[in-house]
Amino acid sequence: MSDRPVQITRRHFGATCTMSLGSLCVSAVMPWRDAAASELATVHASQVNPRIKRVIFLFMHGGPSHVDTFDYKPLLARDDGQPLPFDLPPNIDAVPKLLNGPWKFKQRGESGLWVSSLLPEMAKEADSLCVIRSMHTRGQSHGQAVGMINTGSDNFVRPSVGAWVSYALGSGHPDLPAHVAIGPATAHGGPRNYGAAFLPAMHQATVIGSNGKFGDGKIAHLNGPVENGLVQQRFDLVNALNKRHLNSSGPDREIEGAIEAVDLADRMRRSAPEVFDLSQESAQLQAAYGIGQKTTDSFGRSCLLARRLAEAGVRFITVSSGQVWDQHGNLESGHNKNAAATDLPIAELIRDLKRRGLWDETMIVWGGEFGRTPVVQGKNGRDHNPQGFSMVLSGGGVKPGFAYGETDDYGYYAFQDRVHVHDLHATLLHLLGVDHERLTFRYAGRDFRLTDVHGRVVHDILV
Amino acid sequence: MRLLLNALRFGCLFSVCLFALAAVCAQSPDSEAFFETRIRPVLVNHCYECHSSESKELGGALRLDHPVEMMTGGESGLAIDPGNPEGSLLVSAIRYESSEMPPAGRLPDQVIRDIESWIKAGATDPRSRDGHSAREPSGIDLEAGRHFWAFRPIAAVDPPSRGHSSATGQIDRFLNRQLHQAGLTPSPVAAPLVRLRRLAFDLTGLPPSPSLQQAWLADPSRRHWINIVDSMLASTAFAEHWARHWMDVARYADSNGSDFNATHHEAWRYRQYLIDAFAADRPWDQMIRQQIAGDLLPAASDQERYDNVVATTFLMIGTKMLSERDKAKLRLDVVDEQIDTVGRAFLGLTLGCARCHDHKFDPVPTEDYYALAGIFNSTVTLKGESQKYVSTWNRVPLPTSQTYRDSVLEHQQAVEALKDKIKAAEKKLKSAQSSVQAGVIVDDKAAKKVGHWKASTYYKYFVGEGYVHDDNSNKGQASIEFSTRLPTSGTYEVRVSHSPGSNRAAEVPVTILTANGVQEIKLDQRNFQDDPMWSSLGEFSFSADTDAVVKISNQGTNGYVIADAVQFLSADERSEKAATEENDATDPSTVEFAKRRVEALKQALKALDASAPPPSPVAMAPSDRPSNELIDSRVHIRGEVNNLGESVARGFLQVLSEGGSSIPNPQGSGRIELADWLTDPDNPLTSRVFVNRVWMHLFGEGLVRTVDNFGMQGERPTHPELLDFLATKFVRNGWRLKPLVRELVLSHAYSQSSTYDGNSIAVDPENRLLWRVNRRRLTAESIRDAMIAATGRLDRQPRLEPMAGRGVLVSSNKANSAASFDDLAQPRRSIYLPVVRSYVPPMLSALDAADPDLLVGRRPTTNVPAQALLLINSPVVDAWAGETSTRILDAVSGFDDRLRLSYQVCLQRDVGGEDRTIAQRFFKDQIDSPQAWHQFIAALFASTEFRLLD
Repeated sequence: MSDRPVQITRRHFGATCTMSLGSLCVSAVMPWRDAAASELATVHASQVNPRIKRVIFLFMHGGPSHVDTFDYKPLLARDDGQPLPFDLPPNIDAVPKLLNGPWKFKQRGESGLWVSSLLPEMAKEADSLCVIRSMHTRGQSHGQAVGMINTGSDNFVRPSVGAWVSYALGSGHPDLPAHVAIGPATAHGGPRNYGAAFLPAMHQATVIGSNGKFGDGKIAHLNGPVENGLVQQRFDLVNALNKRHLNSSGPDREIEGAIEAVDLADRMRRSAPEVFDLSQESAQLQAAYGIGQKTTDSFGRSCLLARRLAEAGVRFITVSSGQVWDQHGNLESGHNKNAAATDLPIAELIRDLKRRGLWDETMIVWGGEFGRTPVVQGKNGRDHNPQGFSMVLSGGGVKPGFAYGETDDYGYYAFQDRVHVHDLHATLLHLLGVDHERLTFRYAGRDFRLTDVHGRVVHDILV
Repeated sequence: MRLLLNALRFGCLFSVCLFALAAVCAQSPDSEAFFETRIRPVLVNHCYECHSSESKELGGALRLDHPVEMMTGGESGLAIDPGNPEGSLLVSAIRYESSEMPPAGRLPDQVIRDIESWIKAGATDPRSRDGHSAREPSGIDLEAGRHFWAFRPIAAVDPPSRGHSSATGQIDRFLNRQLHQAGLTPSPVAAPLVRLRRLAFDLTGLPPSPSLQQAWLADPSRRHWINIVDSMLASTAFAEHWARHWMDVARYADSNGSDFNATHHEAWRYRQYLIDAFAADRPWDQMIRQQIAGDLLPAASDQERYDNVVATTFLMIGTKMLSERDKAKLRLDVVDEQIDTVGRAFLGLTLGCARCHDHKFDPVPTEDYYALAGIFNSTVTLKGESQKYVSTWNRVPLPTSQTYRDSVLEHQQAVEALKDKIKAAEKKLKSAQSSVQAGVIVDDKAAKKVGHWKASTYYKYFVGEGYVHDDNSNKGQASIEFSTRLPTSGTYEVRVSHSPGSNRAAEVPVTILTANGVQEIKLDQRNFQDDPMWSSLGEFSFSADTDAVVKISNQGTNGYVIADAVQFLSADERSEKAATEENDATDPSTVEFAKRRVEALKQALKALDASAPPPSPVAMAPSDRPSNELIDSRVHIRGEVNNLGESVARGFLQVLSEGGSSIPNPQGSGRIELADWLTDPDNPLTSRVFVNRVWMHLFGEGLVRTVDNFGMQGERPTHPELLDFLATKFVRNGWRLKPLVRELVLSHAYSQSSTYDGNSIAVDPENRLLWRVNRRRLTAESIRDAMIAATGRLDRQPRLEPMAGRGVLVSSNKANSAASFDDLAQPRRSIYLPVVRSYVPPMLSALDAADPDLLVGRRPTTNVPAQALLLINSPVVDAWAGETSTRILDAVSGFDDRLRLSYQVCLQRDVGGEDRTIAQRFFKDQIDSPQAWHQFIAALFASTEFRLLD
C-alpha cells in the first residue's frame, strides 16, 4: 500500500492555495459543476506557465527508421553498402554494412526541414514540426525501450506518462477520464504502458481498441447487456439501495465515495457516447482523416477520436500504431505499408487541430520506442537503434519547422545536443506547466518521479 | 555515453582561475616537498571549489582535500591508483579524456605531467597527518538507528489491568486503556447477522449460508460463536482466503508479464503450497525458511522435500525484463527485485532504496544492500534462454511417488518395445523396397529399343517413369535390349519387371547374354510369380569384363509384350530378398504391407505418447550457484552495472545484527543463514510485521498502518505495546496463524458495531483507537465468489495447473496477438483463476484486486466509475444476477419470502422495513416478473452493502 500522499483536492485548492496553482483556472475547467464533486478532476501539481493543455502521443510501436524519415544523412546515401567505419554497439544482429533506404529526402516548406518521401502528408506540415534528431534511450529490446518511452523505466514497474499527467492535472472534463489509450499493445508490457502502477488506479488509461486497431471505439461496460431503459432503472435502484445504506450507517466516506462513483458512471454513460461518436463529424472531415479508405480507416478513426477527446478535455491520449514498425527485414514494403496507414491521418490531425485553434494548446508527439540502425540486418532490414533516433513534436510551445540535435554522419549514435527519453518527458511536463522534479508520489518509502533522478528540460526547442 | 556521464558527474567543479606555475624544481616526485609545491597548490586552486569539504555542492561525491577520500574516489570510482597514472581517473579527467576537468580550461601540460609523475611515484600525500578525520564508512549512525522503535527488541508486555473497562480479553484491555485515556468508549456489539457476515468473509472469504444464518440467530451464544469460529478456522475456505492474502505480498502470478509474457507453468504449485500450509497451520517461521531457502533445507520425506522446493517459488515469480540483452544488468535487476520483496514482505523495510546510495531515511547503508545482494547473486534465478536474448528461469526437479516412477518406467518400457518393433518393421520395409530396387537395374528408358514400343504407366508397379509395350502389333519387328556392365563377375539372378496381366503374351522370347554364352528363355507374362513386379528368369553367370545383356522381343508372340526393367541380383542380395519373402510370401504387395505396418506402429507410438504419464514434475525454484561461483557482491556505485566499488561480505542488516552482520563462513549462497536470521526469535521485525498484517486483514488497518514499511517513513504503531504483546505471544505459541486469528476475532473489539458516533468521530476521526469497527471493502475475489455463491453454483474444487496447455508465452509469440482467458465466467473460486500479468480481468482489477506486478500488503480501495459500470453492466455479472433470481423464484413463492431469500442470499441479513419500501416501490405490480427480479438482484449485487462489511 502506498504511503499516504498529501492530496490537493479542488476543495482544498479553492480554500487555501489558489496562488500556488498558478494559471490553472479550475472554475474555467468545469464551469457547470461543483468542482469538488469530481474526483477525476483532482489536481496534484502546481502548474507554472503551462504552454499546452494536453498531449497526444502517436506511438509508432516497433520503431520507425529515423534515417528514412526525418534524419537526412547524405553520407549514408554515398556510402551505401560500405562497412560502418566505427564499432557496433553490443547485442545486435545487424552486420556493420551501411544500408541506404529507398526513399528520397527533400527540404520542405519555408523552414526547409528535411523529410523523406516516405511521409508525404506529414512532409506538407513540415513547418509545423519540431524534430528532435538526437534522441537516445535505454533498451536494446522492445520491452525495455517501450517501457522507457511510456513509463520512464526500462526495468521496473512505474506509472505511465499519461498516469502522471492525469495525477498531476486531473481531467479537463467532469465526466471523462484524463487519460485514454487508443489501440494499445497487449505485449511489451501491455497494460503497464498505460497503467497507474502505484498511483491511484483512476489514473490508468481508459482503453479503446487494442493492438493498433480502433475496434468498436467504445469504453468497455459503458453499455450493458440489457436495453437502455433497464440500465437506467438499475442505476436508480442501486442509488436507492446505497442511500438507504448510508442512512443506516451514518456519514461514511466509503459509501459516499461509492455513491459519487455511481453518479459519475451514470453521467459518463450518458455523456461519453456523444464524445465518442465520430459520425457527428462531417463526411468531408472523416474522408480527410482517411476514414472509409481501407488502409487508413482504423488509424484515421483513432486520430479523429483523439482530436474529439482532446477537445473535450482529456489530458493525455496515446494513439498506438500497433507493433508494426519493426522491419528487421523488408524495410521498404513494411515501412511503406505503415506510412500509408498513418501518414494521412496524422497530417490531418495537425491540420484539424489548427483549424479549430487547438493546435497551440496541444502537443502531438510522434515516434517509436527507438529508431533503426543505418546498417543492414538480413538482406533488407534494419535492427533496433536506441543509440540514436528522432522524435517529432508538433504543437504549442515548441519551435515549428525546427530540427534539433544531430546523430553522427550515418545516423547511428546521437551525437550533438543529445536528448534522452527522460529529457523528453521532462520537457513535456514542463510544457504542461509541471516541474518534473517536483511531481512526486510517495510509495514504499520513497518519492518517485516520472524522470527518476534524471531528465532536463530541452529549453533549446522551446519558443 | 559513459564519458559524458562521467563528465557530468565529475562536475563543473574545478576553480576558474589559473595560476602562474612555479619554476621547475628538482624535488623527487615521491617527496613531500614535491606534493607541497607542485600538487597541493593545483588541487587547492583548481579543484577544491567543488571537491572539498568546503564545496557548496560536492561534485561527483569526490573530495580531493582529504587523502583517504581522494584515494577512494567519488561516484565514478577510484580517482587515483597509486603507481598507475594511466589507470587513474583523475589523470584522464585532467587530460580531458574521460571527462574535462577542470571545466574552466585544460591545465598546462607541465601540471598534468607533474600529477602523472606524482601518481607514478606512489601519490605521496602528507595531508594524512594533517588531522583530517577519516570518513565514516557511511553517514549512517547505526547505534542511533537502533533506538528507533521498529529496531528495538520486542518488549515483554503484560496486558493492562481491567481498570475502568469491562473487557475481559487481553487485546481489549490494551485497546480500552487508550480509548479511556482519550475519553472514548468502545462501541456495543454489532447485530448478530452483521457479526456473522463479517466473520465469514474475514475468515473464509465467502458469505455465511442461509442455514448458518438461521442457526446462529436461533442460538446467538458465545459458545456457539466459538464453535462457528473454530469450524471456519478448520475449513479449506480459510486456507484459500488467507493464502490469497499472502499471494498479494508474494506478487503471485501465473505469467511473467512485462516485455515477454512467459507462462509460469509451475507457479500454481506455490499457490497450492500456501493453501496446504495455511490449512495445516504450519508455523510461519518454517514457512519463511521454506520460502527463502527451501531448496537447501534437509527433508525427512518426499512430501517435505516437495514443499521445501515449491515454497522457494516465492523468490522466482517477480516480473522480470526477460528480453534484456545486457544480462549482467538483468541479473542485478532480478537480485534487486528479490531484495526489495524480501525486505518489504518479511521486514517491512524498503531495502531497494539502498541500491544506489545509503538509505535516505532508514539506517541501512548501501553496504547492507550489497551484503544481501551477494546472497542472491550467489543464487541461480535465471537460467538459459527460451529464445535468443530472452532469458528463462531455473527449474528444480521435484520428488515423485513410487507409483509415478513405476508408471514412468512402464511407459518407457512400452515405448522402447514399440520402437524396437518399428525398427524391425522399417527394416523389413527397407528390405522389401530393396528387393524391388536392389542389385543392378536397367530401366526401359535406358534400353535400346528396336521397332515400335508404346509408353504406359497404367499398371501401378513399375521402375522409373513407366514401362513400354508392343501394342500387340508388328510382331517380330520390335525388340528391346537391356544392357549393363556388372560390378563383379559371378552368379546373378536375373529378373524382369513386366506388369503381368491376362492380355499379356504367354511365350515371350528372352535372350540372355551370359559369361557362358547366350541363353534363350520363354517368359509367360500372363502371371506374376512371387512378386507384384518382378519375375525371375533364373540364375546366370556374368563377367565383369563384358556387358550383361537381356533382350526381349515380340517375335512370335500372341498378346501384349511388356518391357519395364531388368534386375541383376548378386548372391548377397538374393539372400536378403529370401529373408523378406519368408515372412510375407503370401502378401500380394510386400512393400505396401510393410509400409502399412510401419505406419500402424507409428500411430500406436503416438497414442502411447499421448497417454504418457505427465512429465517429471519440476518447480520454478532457485538453486545455489556452484561453489566456485559463490561470491560476495561489490557495491555498484549509483546502482549501475559497471560502476564497481568495494566488495561486501555476504550478510544482513547491521542495524538488526548487533552480534555481527556478516555470515562468517557461508556454506552456500547464504540463503539458509538469511532465513535463520529472518526467523530468529530476537529479530524484532519479522513477527511484528506478520502479526500486523493479520491485524490489518481483520480490522481494516494495521496497528502500523503502513504494513509494508516499518521504517522512519512508515507510520508509527497506534498501539505499540499491543503489537509487541501479540508478536511475543505469536512467537511463543510457535508462529501459528490460526490461534492468532482466533484470539483477534474473539475480542470485543472485533465484534463491535461500525455505527457512526458523532462524539467519537470528533475525537478520533480516523478511528485509530478502534472505538468502532472499520467498515471495510470485500476483496475483488470475495465479491466475485459471493455473486457465484448466490447463484448456488460455486464450485469448491481446487484447480491445479491453470496454465496447462499454454506455450512458452501466454499468447502466441507475436506482439500483436492477444491471449484469451475465459475462466472468469466459470463458477470456480477466484483464487483458482490464473493470475496472468497483463490480463488481469477488468472485473477483478476494477475492484482493486492486487496488481500482480507489485508487492501489495494492503490493497487500495478506490471508488471509480469503472467499478460501478462494471458491476451494473458486465454481461457476466448480469448473467449471475439472472441465475440467482431464477433460483430464488424457483425456491420460494410469494413476494415476502422471495424478498427475504434475496436478502439472505445476497446480503446475508433479514429484510428491514425500509428495504421492503424500496422493493415495493421498485416492483410495483411487477412482483412476479422474472425480469424485475433479475433487475432487483443485479442492483443488490451492485450496491454498496454487497461489497462492504459493516
